[in-house]
Amino acid sequence: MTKPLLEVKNLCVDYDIRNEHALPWKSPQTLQAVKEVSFTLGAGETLGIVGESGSGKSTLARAIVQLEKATGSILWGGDTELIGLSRQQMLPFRSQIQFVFQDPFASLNPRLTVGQIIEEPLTVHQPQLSRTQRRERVRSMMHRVSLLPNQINRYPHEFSGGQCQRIGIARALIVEPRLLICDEPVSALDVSIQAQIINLLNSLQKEMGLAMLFIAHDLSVVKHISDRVMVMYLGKVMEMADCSVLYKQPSHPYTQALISAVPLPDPQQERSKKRILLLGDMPSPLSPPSGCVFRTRCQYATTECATRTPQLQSTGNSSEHSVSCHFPAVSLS
Amino acid sequence: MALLSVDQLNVRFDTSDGVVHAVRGLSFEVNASEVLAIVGESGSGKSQSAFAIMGLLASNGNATGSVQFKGDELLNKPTDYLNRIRATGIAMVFQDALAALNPYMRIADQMTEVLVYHFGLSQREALAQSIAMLDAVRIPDAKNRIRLFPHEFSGGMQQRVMIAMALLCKPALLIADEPTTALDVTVQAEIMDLLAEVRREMNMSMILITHDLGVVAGYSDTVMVLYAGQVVESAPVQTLFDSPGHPYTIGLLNSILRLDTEDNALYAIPGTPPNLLLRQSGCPFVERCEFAIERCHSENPALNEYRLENVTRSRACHVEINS
Amino acid sequence: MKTQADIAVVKGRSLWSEARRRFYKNIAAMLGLIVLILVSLFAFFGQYIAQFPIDEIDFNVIGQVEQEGGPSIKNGHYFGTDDLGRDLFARVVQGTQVSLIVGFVGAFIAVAMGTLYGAIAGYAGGRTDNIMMRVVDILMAIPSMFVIILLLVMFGRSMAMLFIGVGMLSWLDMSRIVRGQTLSIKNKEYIHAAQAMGVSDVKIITRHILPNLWGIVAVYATLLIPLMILTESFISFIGLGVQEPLTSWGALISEGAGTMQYGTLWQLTFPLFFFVITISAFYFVGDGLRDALDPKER
Repeated sequence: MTKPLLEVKNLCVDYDIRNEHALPWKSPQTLQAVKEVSFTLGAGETLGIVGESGSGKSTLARAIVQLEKATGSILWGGDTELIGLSRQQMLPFRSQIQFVFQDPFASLNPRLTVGQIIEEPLTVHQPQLSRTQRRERVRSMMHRVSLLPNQINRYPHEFSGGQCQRIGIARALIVEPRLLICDEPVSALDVSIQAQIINLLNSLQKEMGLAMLFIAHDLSVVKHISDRVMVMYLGKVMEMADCSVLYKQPSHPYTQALISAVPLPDPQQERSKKRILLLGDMPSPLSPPSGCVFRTRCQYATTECATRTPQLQSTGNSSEHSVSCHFPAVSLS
Repeated sequence: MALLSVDQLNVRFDTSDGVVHAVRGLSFEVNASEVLAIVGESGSGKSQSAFAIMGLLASNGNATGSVQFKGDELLNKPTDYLNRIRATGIAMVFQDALAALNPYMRIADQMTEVLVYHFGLSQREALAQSIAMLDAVRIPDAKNRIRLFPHEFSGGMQQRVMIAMALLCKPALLIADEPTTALDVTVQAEIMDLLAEVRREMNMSMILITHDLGVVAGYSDTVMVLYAGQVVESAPVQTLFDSPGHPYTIGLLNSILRLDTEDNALYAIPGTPPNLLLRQSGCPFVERCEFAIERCHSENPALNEYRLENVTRSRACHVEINS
Repeated sequence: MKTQADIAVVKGRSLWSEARRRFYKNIAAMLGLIVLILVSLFAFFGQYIAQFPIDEIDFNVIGQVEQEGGPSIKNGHYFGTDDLGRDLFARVVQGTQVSLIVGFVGAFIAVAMGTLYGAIAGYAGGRTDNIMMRVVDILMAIPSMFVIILLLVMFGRSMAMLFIGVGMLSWLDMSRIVRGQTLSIKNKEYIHAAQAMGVSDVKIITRHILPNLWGIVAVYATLLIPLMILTESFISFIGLGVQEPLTSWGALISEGAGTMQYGTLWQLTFPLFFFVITISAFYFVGDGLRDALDPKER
């Protein structure tokens, strides 16, 4: 068996939250944004990460490239531990892990031309290239993401949202990374443009053999691009499974609720569909519920859920399908 | 008589780059207790038509045509005249609830203010009605939470508060401008269900503005698809989803991300919407259309009403499409 | 078939060139700019028109300034003479020079120090930011005019001391504004993007943060220049500014105001006129810049 490209084990990210009105010598509260997340990602594979806002999915992504202080283990390429690397030591890995962001406009510096934006990673990671060589690479990259190379001297505000997202993708891929982390890359785009960007990412991934972490708050987006899907809630993994398994046999009540929340584009089906509603609001991550973090909103919760914390366990129907629930698939019966 | 009838509404903006024709020749009617969905991408003019109806256009905007609510003309009327109709006649719910609520006022004060102003209720009565309305939009513990400030609510709860405020004066028509775009999917489903429910209870009409055809399916009677400021197709919701008649509608339907298909291949409409600063002669969709013929480049198709299988619908296209 | 235009590289319009275009359309701001150009031309080329050097006393008018010293083309005193019989035209030219230089140099010191200090504090964040901004708070609590006066009294009256005093104390506001702006830019996704790809902190500040700060800095600088001029004028007015025979607007206005009751009103009106139009012009230009750089705020 080949070594996985990325192996994350027991990753935790804590924030210290200081109350504005608290006295300076009071110890700050701890917010656990990511709690004991483990997964592996093979070369060329796509893992979809789904969760509502506040589920810790973006923090997890930032922790992988050491933009957040994390504990646990992040093994890159089977032999390099990324946690604890100094900035200088981390630099070569940054060219192999690249980011695509949510907001197509805010993720591009408005004062730089498209050419300057796309070539920036090259100036950092391949400083030996001459200016003309860099420009050549930029042009061919622009062509690959279906931007006209003659627009190289234009500024971001002269492009539409979809085109700006293409610029962001070109910037990420110009150093030929092995892993692309997409943090909600389509949620700010119009529906017709979302499909374009997803198709573009799909085809670029095949061409370049990229591995991808694809973050979204919506299961329908992830379905079209992922091999496996991980569902997160309040910093913890609720369920992880192959894409085909997850949508057919969702075992965690939260996954079921997420699936039933996606509107069906068919008037009759949508009106007759029975929706699984979540109770109340997401609890504050500063004081998460005891036991199962999802129990406060779960319609199947029992007293056991409040006292014992469920572990992520294989469901048995497939080795790749694991769920963190005491009563998985209750509602399927 | 229709509750709201819009006739040949045009909205244009004078900007330093030139004139932007945001809405062109928009005509539609909303009947009592009907839900009309207006669907379009950003820049299609869907929000600007709503703003024009409410008299909320930016200062460089200019609306012509006619907007009649219960027979009274609204377009380009003075603000104090419109204020009487806003809230009691037509209310609006916005995309960003937090930005639409005053951050320095308690919810209670913001809600009672409306009732005191429009109906001259006493403070006590107004408060009681406000609490009842928060109960109606299913805010738990409304009696105490009405004393909170907007930022103390979660995103979904803020949207509920705004819906409650819009409904306070029992309007005959509610305009919901992308009410769920900023929310998580689970919350989106809750809010849409809530809107549908209170609409039924209060027997209200609604204009639902969104960029997502998927959201529209379960919650509307009629759908109007806007592209580059023009209506390209309008039909009853079931008809539109079963047999879309305009290439753009077909493209939109095919590019919806859906869970109920096995096939993971996704159709995408190529290209981007046209620049509204440049006025072209042909159909605005021609550059992205796979059905385009010679005529589409030179002549902008008019919106034609026709009957198909006993359903009256309309579309603006030169090409015959069998879907 | 591709036309030539398709293949040729399209030139982009930067935010700056868009702002310039909007600025050119703003009549008040353009008027202000023209006034400023004219005043500057007057300040730096006026000495070639003047018939007398600034310190030469015209003995034809001395003693009867009220009757003979008025503005006249014939005797070469275009703006008349001052109380001592010196040519007021030459002196106003010289005063304008000094005031403009004090304004620009003072504003430059303030902008350079304030931008750097504020950008570093804002980008570093956390404890560094806290300490740096508390230092600013403390400095702000010291009455600035008092310090300038003290400096001038202790180290003698000189242009250099004036620059240092005025510039050193006005960067505080600038650093606060820049810090606030940096904090908001720091949370933009393009900064995260740069961090994720491993761009160094220095590069992030110079390439991504500073260029996005220039807008607000430019606006504030244009409003700072008249403030500098006002400060200098006040110091000169109370007699602590530049030394004779050099002069400045403040000194000239002070002298003119002192001799008002003798009927030599021109000694006040000419310097005052230049003072007022220049200050207003700066404010017009500043307002115009703000509108041009931030079109949403209208």
